[in-house]
Amino acid sequence: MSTPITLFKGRATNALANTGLQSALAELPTGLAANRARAKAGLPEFEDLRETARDIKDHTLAHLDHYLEAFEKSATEAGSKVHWATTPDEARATILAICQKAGARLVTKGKSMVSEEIGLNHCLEAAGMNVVETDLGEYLIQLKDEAPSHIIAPAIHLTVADVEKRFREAHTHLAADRVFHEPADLVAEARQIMRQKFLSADVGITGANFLIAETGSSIIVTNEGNGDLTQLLPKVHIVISAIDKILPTLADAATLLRLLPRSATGQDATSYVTFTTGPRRPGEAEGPEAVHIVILDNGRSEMLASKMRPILRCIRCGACMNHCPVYGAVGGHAYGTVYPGPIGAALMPGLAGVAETAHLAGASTFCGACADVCPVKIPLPDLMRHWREAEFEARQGSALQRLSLAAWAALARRPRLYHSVMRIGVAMLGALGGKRRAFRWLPGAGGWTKHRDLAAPQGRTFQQLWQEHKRGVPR
Amino acid sequence: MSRDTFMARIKLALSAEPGDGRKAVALARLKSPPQHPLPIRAQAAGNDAVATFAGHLEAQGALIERVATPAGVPMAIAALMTKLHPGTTLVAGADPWLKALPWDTVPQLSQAAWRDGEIPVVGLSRASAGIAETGTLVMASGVDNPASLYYLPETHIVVIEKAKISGSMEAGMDAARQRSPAKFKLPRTLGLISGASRTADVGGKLVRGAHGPKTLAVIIVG
Repeated sequence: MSTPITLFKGRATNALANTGLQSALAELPTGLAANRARAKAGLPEFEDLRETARDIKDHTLAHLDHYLEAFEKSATEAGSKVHWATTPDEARATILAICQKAGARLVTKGKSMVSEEIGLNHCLEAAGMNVVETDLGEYLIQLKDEAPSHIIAPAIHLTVADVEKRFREAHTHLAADRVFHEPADLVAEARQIMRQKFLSADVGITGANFLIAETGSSIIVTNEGNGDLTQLLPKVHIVISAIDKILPTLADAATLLRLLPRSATGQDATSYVTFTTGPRRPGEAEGPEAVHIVILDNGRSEMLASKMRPILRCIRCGACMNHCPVYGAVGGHAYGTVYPGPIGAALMPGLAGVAETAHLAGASTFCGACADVCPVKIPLPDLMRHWREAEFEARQGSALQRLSLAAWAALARRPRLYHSVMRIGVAMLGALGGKRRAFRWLPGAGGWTKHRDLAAPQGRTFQQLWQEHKRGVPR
Repeated sequence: MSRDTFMARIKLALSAEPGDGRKAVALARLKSPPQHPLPIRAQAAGNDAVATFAGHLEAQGALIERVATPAGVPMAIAALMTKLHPGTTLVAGADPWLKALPWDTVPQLSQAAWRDGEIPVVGLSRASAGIAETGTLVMASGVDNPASLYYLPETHIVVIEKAKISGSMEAGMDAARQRSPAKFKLPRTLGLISGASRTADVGGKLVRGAHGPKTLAVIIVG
């Protein structure tokens, strides 16, 4: 039977065998992660700014109702229309109605994870509209109807050869014998195709990295400039965002904008950070005639009221996945959710339900690297542990897993018994490990030993060693 | 679902928050925004700020030209045009400061006013401010300096006066606020630009000129 967890295991197994994906993932430590380290070194106050950023977000969340109302007021004064959507259904219906009213045939889109969250493209396409993702990475995955495998580098799983193949299959109106010498040639082809779309689109849809209550502005942070053209050229601009993107003031945004690009791509600043405040103004010859801002809840208000509130600090930089050993091994698609990696494991159960996604909290070594790099200091392992507990309480997981946990709990609550059992077990395993001090195979540990040796205990437990250490016994 | 239901859910979620004065606290912050700690690299001033500004932009691949006076700007632009896009037309908005430059010093230069729907090869804009900490141009859209020119051309030439370059993002945003018509809190499009358009979506290799300009050229005056 296919359950969320067996599906996850199947996808993870495929990912481990996918050589193209593995070569792309192998570049994370020397790529995005190393870039972040360099950018952090160039800003000695980085750690202090993380504290400030956490405080800004916590303050905002604790006063979120008032900042949402203030945002609505400022945005309305600037001429935008704010829409509220409690569920993905409402958000889709709102956006569809705006597009239909605008008589939209071609809709261009900037990168937006919230639009992925609500499954916007399929909804608009079902209504007969042509929806084009203009971010190059998003365009590449749209060609194969794939989900993003990373929140800031959606096509990170594709090699240059994959990209060329997709372009040749999709752009059949271009000469079949054209030659791509280097990535720049592929980018040039995408630019040429996208130019026509930008100019002829009826509606442009973007996300927002931040919404500013003080000014009613939406902010996008980009490098390609596609989002900027998407929101500037069509006659209608729709922003799809969520309640956790609100910031009180521009001063608050300045601190977050110091952390976001450094944490994401390791840039001090992206090429473009663009603030949009309302539609075209009197006398201007450019800009949309109407700006609609759709703000989604989708389970976030429940998290706001719970122990999960810190997840709403997230600014979607992707640093947690760039530093995660599990993400680094299996990539984003294995998670099977809109948001992958540690942020996905901590966020998705709140958005999509415990039954469907709480097992992702098991896809963690709890090494804590994600929390160490998080620019807003989200305690990701703690939040994942919370979902593990919720999963156990909801009586999910396999019978064997539940039995093992129950047995472990029974043992761990009886320290004397625990130490005796551990002494015997560790001594036996130590002896069985032999000279190699490792197991190539062990009953019940096949999932581990299939890919690598399992180190054998060295004969004594930590408690024994600790007692000896306290007595001053030399090792 | 109505707005009221939506808001009621948020208010319910926050019903356990301590303190009756939450609204007053929020309004006070909006009225007088906080001053968060400024990193040292955001505190440069004067010539240091200008040098840092230019250095960061150059590191991002931008072309930097320095001219001593506004009178030198047309010559610098003509030289850039000859080097990058000979035989093309320079397109700009209605910025009065740019219009007042001595363009008669470069009679060979072809110029046109920007019209909606047009994709110029070279666009010219004037920055409202510069941010030294990241090498960022602060661009305030309007009839003077339409935002289309920031993102559509092959090459974007931006003129900035030295005195407009300050240390921090906060100072840059304040300058943009000043540029906004009284009725609005910010220009319609406020573009912070720190380099040419770029992407690394094809095999992780950095390529310039994804959808926006392939070249960003900055002329610093003074």
